[in-house]
Amino acid sequence: MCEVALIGRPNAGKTTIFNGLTGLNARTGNWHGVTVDEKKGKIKNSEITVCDLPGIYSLNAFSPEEKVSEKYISENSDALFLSVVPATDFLQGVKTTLALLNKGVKTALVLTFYDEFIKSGGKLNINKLAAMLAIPVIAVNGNDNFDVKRLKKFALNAVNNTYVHTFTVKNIAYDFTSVFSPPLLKGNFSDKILLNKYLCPFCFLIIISFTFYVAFGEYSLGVLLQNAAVAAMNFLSLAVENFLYSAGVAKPVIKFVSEGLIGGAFSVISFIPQLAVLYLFLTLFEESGIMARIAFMFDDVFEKIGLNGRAVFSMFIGFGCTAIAELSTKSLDNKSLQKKTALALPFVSCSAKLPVYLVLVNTFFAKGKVVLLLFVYLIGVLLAALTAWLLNKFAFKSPQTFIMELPPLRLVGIKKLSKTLLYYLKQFIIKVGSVIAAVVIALWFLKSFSPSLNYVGENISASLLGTVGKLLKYLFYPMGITDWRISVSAISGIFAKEAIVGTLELLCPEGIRSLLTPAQALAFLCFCATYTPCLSALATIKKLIGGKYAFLCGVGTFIFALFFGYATYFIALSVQIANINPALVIFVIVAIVFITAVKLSVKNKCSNCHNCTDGKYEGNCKYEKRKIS
Amino acid sequence: MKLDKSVIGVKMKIKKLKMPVSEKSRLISLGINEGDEIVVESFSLFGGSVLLKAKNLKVVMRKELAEKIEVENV
Repeated sequence: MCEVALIGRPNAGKTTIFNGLTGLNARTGNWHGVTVDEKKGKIKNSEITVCDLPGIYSLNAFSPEEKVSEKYISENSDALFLSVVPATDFLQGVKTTLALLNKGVKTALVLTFYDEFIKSGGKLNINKLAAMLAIPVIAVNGNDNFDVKRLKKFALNAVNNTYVHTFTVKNIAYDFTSVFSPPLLKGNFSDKILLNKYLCPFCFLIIISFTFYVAFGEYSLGVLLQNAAVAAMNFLSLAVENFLYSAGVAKPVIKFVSEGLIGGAFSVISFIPQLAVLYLFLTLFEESGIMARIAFMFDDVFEKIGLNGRAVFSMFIGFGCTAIAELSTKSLDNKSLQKKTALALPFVSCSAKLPVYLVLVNTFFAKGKVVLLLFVYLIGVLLAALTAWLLNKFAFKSPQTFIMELPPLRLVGIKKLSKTLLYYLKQFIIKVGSVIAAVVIALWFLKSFSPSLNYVGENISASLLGTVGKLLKYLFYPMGITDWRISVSAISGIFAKEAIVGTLELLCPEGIRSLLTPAQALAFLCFCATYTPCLSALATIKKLIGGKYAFLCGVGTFIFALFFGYATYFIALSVQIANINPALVIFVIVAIVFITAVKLSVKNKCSNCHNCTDGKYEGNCKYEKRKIS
Repeated sequence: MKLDKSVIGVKMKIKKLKMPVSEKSRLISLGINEGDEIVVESFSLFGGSVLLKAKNLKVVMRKELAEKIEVENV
């Protein structure tokens, strides 16, 4: 049980205060519904527990997170409730405080964003308000150490009963006109751009392209940092290996330490610089309120496939890293929406797949490189959309009541940015990194030992991995692929997609041109684009929506990718035999998909008003109230 | 009067919230109630969602829901 609980409307600044009081780094954001479950921590240098509750609009719970808060209040009526109210939205926020007072619980009012409120011309007489409500009222800035210390002192005194105050219950309607005058609403220039339907998509494309360039582009910050991390890890690995050799340690042990342990840690660390850059931008978008605007603008695009605007960002993060994109689905409205998004995300081509695409495309299709790459990315997006649509149609149909409060645009402080960034990275290293490291160690073991557990060194063909590869190669026969090394590389890709190219290089130093024909390469390319997501993504899915779905996702995508590969091989072979231009085939496929999508989206539109959609109105134009023939 | 593209930027008053209780309560708890003044600020890319400004807050909702808000000119 917590002695102090933070309660209030979503995006009121509760988690920032919680972090200040406890010294923890819980995730914050300028976004409705960042906190989805109660978080507990101890007030710094004390034994008093403080609880951060999910945001609520009223004490009549509608959403799952509101239910968490409602249940908490009924079960912990002895706690001190710090009702967090943003001064900028005082009249709405104070309703929760009044509801708490009516419930008869010990309540104090904490005003946040007070500086912003005063700056925008608002007026609030705190002493008069405290006297009016007969409860303590404290104005704080969650990021200000002095304010947080003041609040901490108050909470400690109140809990230890050294703070004497009468908490009176009043059940009357309050009139705050004598104590409060609202801030002046000024038009925001940035909002005029971000909420313009012509400029917003353009800005969004620039923002996303810039983010990707800084994280993954040639000579970008992310790549430079990654190269530095790789060089440092190589140096460390070599130094340790030399030291162990000079100490006379047995070769398998040295290989285990340098390739298994250091290699495992290395595979995690090499991700971190680019992830840090991606997280940095993600945090910036979240905290500034840009993400909420993007969610609004693209909402109807996503509605068509059973998702809503909030899924936009997860999908775009998916182009960078599936595991992080999966993590970001946590902030989605409800569980079924989260499941649909989480299960559709693996089809979006992550940045780790790009080296595989490049190796195959450069080797076999140098002429139509750009078209083919775009085609592969497009296929990923279409399959993700199709998956979400199918799941919405047959498995997780949920009522879509997309109502969202648009948070104000805010500048993000460096302190807040670095704190949130650290939180994200910590989550990745502990929860996802540990899985990757364990798998890399296991992979090293599989490629270093034979089925009879003899050390095989560089003779991977005789290793456990080689044996498994030789068994699995039959799965690739319908793609015309008969070499076991291809199947081994595909298996290694399940651990981490980056491993495919590395494994191919390790197993086929002479290059892959001799292993595959163009038709087989295309089939393998399509297989790689769609098969099982890496283990870190699967681990995240398991953590978010359960092991059953992670298993279904892993096995389902593998089977799908196999059949997709078979079909691609069949089509490619037919095209080759018939001597048709491959670009024409791609064009025809894209055209068919586009026409089908357009037909599906306009099929049910009302022919009278062109506004009502789908079968909801059963052919009745809802404006004219007449049957459409 | 309908909440469509023709009323962008026009100040209106909510006459009635004609929707199920759950949706109505949601809007009321957000701070949108009958008698309040609202302005349609913007529509999403394909017009499926609408951004309303009421008092000093901005609320986004699906057009189907917004159309259940009966409004009149101020």
